[in-house]
Amino acid sequence: MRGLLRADWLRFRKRGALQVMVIAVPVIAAFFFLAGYRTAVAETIVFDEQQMRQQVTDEILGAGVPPDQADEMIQQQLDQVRAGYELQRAQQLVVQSGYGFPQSFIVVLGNATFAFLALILITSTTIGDEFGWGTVRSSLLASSDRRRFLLARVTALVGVAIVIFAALLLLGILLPGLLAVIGSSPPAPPPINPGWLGLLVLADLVISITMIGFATMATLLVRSGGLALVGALVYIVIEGALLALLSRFPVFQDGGGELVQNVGVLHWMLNVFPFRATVTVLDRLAVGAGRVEAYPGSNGTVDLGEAWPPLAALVVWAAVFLLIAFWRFRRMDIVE
Amino acid sequence: MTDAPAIIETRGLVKRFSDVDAVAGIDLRVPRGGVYGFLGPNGAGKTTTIRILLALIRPTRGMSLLFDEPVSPGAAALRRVGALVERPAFYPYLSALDNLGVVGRARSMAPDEVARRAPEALERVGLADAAKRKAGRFSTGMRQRLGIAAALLDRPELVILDEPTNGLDPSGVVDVRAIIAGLARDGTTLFLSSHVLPEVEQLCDHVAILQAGRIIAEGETQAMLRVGERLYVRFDTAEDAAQARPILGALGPVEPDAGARTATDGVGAPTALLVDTHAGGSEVVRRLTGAGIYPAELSLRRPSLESVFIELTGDHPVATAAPAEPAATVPK
Repeated sequence: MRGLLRADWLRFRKRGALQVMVIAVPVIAAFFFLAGYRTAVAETIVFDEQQMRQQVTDEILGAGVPPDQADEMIQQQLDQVRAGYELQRAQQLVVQSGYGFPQSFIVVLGNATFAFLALILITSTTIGDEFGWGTVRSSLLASSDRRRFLLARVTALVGVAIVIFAALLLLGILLPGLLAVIGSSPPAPPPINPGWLGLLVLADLVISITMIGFATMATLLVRSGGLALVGALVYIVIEGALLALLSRFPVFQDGGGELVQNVGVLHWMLNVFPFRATVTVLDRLAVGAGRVEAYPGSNGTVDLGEAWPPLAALVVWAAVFLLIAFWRFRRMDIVE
Repeated sequence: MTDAPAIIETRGLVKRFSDVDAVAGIDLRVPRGGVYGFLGPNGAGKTTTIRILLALIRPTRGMSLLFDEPVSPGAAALRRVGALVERPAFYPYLSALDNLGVVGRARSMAPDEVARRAPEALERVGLADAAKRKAGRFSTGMRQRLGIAAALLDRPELVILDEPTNGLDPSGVVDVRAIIAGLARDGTTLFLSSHVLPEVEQLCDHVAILQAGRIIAEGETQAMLRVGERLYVRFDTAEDAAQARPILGALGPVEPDAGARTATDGVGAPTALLVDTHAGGSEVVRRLTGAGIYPAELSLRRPSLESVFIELTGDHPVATAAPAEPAATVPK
């Protein structure tokens, strides 16, 4: 097993395309982080009371309201507008403070969907190329224990996932520093919940293993990395369509968003599909880690307990995908 | 067949792809030591058999053993085997040395052992100068050499080579044949599948001929060639040949040699005869001279492996090759 891992390390270390894919993930993450912060800052709302009072006065007087009644109406309207602005400002500050350390970890890790897509790409490429180049034959001639060969490859890919998420965590430290250097520090962020952050990191690893398992299984079933990627895209579309269809039935409805409202008895079932489960888990754990269960102005709180069924489902999916992959690889004829 | 312990054995091996039996019941027993030739026309099932032996594909029925151990993925016996199957495949982005590094690591060789043996293996197959070049830029012949280097890297007890000289230039062919002969001399058992029949004839102690997934002939190479041996007796005149025919007929079946006739257009009377006999050349001479007939030439003609192969796998008759040595010096 150690020899196989050393062989994979040599393969991965010298594979330029793989390095590009691995490096691309933190680069894209940094780009989205900085672009997101720029958008959050650019849309900063400033409440100019004098200008707003003039605007409200013009509107009310223009509507023919008698001057003796106008003052009270102007004040009421102005209070309403001010309250709205304050709410928006509070929401903005929450968003902007997410880019400050240590909330930056959550922004980086919670929006790592493309990291999982990258892992699918890397997995299907590295395993698919074994069939495309015929090197699966050479590899199995060198070491015929297929179970160990695949276990070593999956372990190496999990290693790649760990490197990617370690790089993302590093970005969570470096990027707020970069913002400070360029003189655009975000507002002081609220403290994070370290326990939930740990869970978020753990969930990222579970999802990574699920995605690696999915891509491994798909690639081995069709013996091609390219076809496996097409299959993955088709599956994502099918899962989305199926979820949209099921959401029409009241028993599956989950209130239409993050907030606990009118939920159907079976709404949790929608969250056990692999890609939907991924989104739900990341969302709930990010909320828990960032201590933003109740968003300013919202009517309810995010149900953090909703993270568990999809997380458990992802563990089950990972096991199922990997079992099928190992079964398939052990039984397949190598005719390449 | 020899009673020496078998290093490869198959029993009723069958492999069915869709509705075609690529291998249709092969019983094979390859003795330890020497070079065993595995011949057959395209599609005869040679590579499929080799893939089964190496646990790359699963047989539909039957079983195969290496070193008396049933073959299955992960079988310990497979670690004692080095193999080259069809066109060798390598990671194109890795150098020749790194590709061997991957093979060595996967074979659980110690890092310093890999570092020592990989350059040696490349040197042996004539790729030392290309050690750091990426395998993706290799020609077919270079890939073939690298495949042989990979097969020999761990100094296996059994080497299975599937068409090892494919794509090699003439000097490469000579080199590879020398490597095979050297390995055999060192006690390595070689199982060689090849289309190049003179190569098999030159290198192999034993031969199995495969057709349509079955072994149609198997045995020691020299014994197989002796089956088609004929005495070639040429006379100065067609009359002598005609008179000699009943005399030689008493020793065995006689047929005129198509190439020696009185007319150059090939339709004249024959002046030479081919005798299928176990009698020695001296007995032939004694009988002919006793009848007052003096042959102008007497020699032993052995079929080439190619002609045996064609006879066994096709409808062509065995064609005798050019005269070998004088009959008197050929033991019969």
